[in-house]
Amino acid sequence: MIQFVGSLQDVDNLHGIRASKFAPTVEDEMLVKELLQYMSQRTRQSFYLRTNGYSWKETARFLKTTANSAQVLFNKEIGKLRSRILKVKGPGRRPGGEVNE
Amino acid sequence: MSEQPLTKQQEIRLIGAYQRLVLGGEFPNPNRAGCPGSEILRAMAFRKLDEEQVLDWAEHLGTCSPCFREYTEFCKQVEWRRNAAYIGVAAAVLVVLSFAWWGWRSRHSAVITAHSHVVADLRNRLTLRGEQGTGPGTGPLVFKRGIDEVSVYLPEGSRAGTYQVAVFREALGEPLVSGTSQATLEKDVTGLNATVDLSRVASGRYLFGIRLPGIEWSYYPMVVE
Repeated sequence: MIQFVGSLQDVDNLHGIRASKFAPTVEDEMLVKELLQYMSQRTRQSFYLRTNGYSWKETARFLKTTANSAQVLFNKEIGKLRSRILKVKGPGRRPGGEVNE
Repeated sequence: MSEQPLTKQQEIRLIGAYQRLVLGGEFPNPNRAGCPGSEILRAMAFRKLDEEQVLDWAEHLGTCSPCFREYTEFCKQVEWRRNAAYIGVAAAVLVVLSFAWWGWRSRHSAVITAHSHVVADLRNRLTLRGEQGTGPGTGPLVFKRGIDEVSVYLPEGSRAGTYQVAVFREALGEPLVSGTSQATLEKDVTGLNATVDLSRVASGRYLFGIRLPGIEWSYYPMVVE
């Protein structure tokens, strides 16, 4: 059955889909859309460059920083945003494949 | 829930998820409003665009499915060219290594210990002496790789005695193998028997040398098969 899913909360309610490999993919896609709404300008630039296949070294050059610094800042901010989004959503499967306790 | 930074794996998953969204038509843009054109996309894929422009267009590509699809096709071309270059380099290395191996093999041939009997009839053969050169006489003597028991018939008029026999490279220099043997005169033919160890000599063209001690070498073209 194909069913419209509007948010991560909706995905949480789809217990039949949850067990399949399909669910994490959908959750990731929904999470990333939500994340984009809250990203800082700099993290968004990094995100789009990475989406376009640029390496961290190249991304860092465009952003006038080091690869390590760009990557650490990006992963910190996304990690923080993801935690906040999932906190609002409540316990369940965490996008990225892990299950929250 | 702790605010853990993304792991590398999680980052790859999120980027992959977004790429699937864009490729899947999340941002249709049917009128291609604000699109940069193929040249810009191509330049981005081939990393030929300057930094300012990349930053300008990166976000557009992430929010325009047609552009992202076109850009992805250019990226595939980049990947294909890169792979072709790798394959070309690998093929060149393989050719060089093959030649090196072949050269090494020809210089360091396997040891062959098979015994053969060879007749080296030097009667009526053109003799090459000293610096006269190394050209062929009436056809080279044919030796086999391995241990050759050689019956040498010396040129007419040769006297009996102890002879030195040797094998030289065509460029001469030190003999590759050498030894001495006693020649005897029987029925007007002077002959000697010698054991020539060609077990470590590679196949190719050489010179067979023979002389009485203290006298100049006489050379005969030879081939080791």
